Amino acid sequence: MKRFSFGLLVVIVSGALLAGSPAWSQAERRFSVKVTVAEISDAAGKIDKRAKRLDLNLRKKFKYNSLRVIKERRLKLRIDEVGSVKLPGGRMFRVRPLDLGDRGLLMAVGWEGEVMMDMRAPNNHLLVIGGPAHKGGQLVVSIEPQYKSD
Amino acid sequence: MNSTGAEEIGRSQRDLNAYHDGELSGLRRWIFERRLSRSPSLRAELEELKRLSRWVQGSGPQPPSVDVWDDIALRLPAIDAQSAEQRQRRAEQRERRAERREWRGADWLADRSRPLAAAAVAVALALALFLGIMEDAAPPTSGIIRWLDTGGRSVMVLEDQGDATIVWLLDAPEDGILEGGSREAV
Repeated sequence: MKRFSFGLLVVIVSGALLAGSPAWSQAERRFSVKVTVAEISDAAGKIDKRAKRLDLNLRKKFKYNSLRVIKERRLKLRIDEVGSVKLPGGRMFRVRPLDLGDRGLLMAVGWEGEVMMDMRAPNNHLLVIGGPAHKGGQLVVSIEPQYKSD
Repeated sequence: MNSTGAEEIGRSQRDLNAYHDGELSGLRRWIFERRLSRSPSLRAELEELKRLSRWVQGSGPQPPSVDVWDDIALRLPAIDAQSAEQRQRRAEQRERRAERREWRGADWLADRSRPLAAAAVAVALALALFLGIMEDAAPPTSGIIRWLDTGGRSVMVLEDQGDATIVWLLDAPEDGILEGGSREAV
């Protein structure tokens, strides 16, 4: 009887450990999310070299003469951890990794007073949110999750 | 020490959410129910989660509230999205199982024709690989927007960019710098 109980205990503990291990490792993992805050404007000016990829994608759809990077941050976040970047004007931009799946990292993204969204993005996918007026132009925030695939 | 405690809480929270969504199965469900029966605080959390879920289902679209952003707005849509994904996966698995059953029951695959059928399947697989038909194996490049709330403002989502997704908020009439793209209110 004792032997049976011990065996059952071993099976239960092993099963629980095996069943829980993927979630456990995902909880420990940290994801790098690059956040770039920029301003596009019709005013004459330069295109910031740091935002080359952002410019390449925006230029296909929008017309502007200058692109200025205001801020760049690289957030290292665990699942469910909230990373914040303060935007010009004092409002906050927040990112929260929620889940890593086959099709990428599910993130909750919030631009205070503007937009809230959940998006699943593959590694290095560029998410661009823009539109709000800022000085003479428009404010643009891009985020780029970067992580090693399993 | 602190990080271990935080991880434990995070794991417990995930188990709670999964249990609430009916996604815990077998041994994990049994273990969680034992924990639940022993922990009044866990039961209280479960009740709170059920209450929130009922509240969210019962309410219409709400304007974004900054105060509760961290606690509610970011969490519940994600839970919905994860549940939807898991439901889809389960449905796909059921379909695959049904297909396998049909395959086993097929009369035409008689003993003598098995080697021939196996050879045909091998050739078809090799061809599929050669022609690059198995696109599922390729890593995904496009993003998927699961949920979006702009508080009633119009928004344009441009997802045809390949490795980029653009979400453009339209509020000012002088959005004159827009050159192209289709308008899509979400």
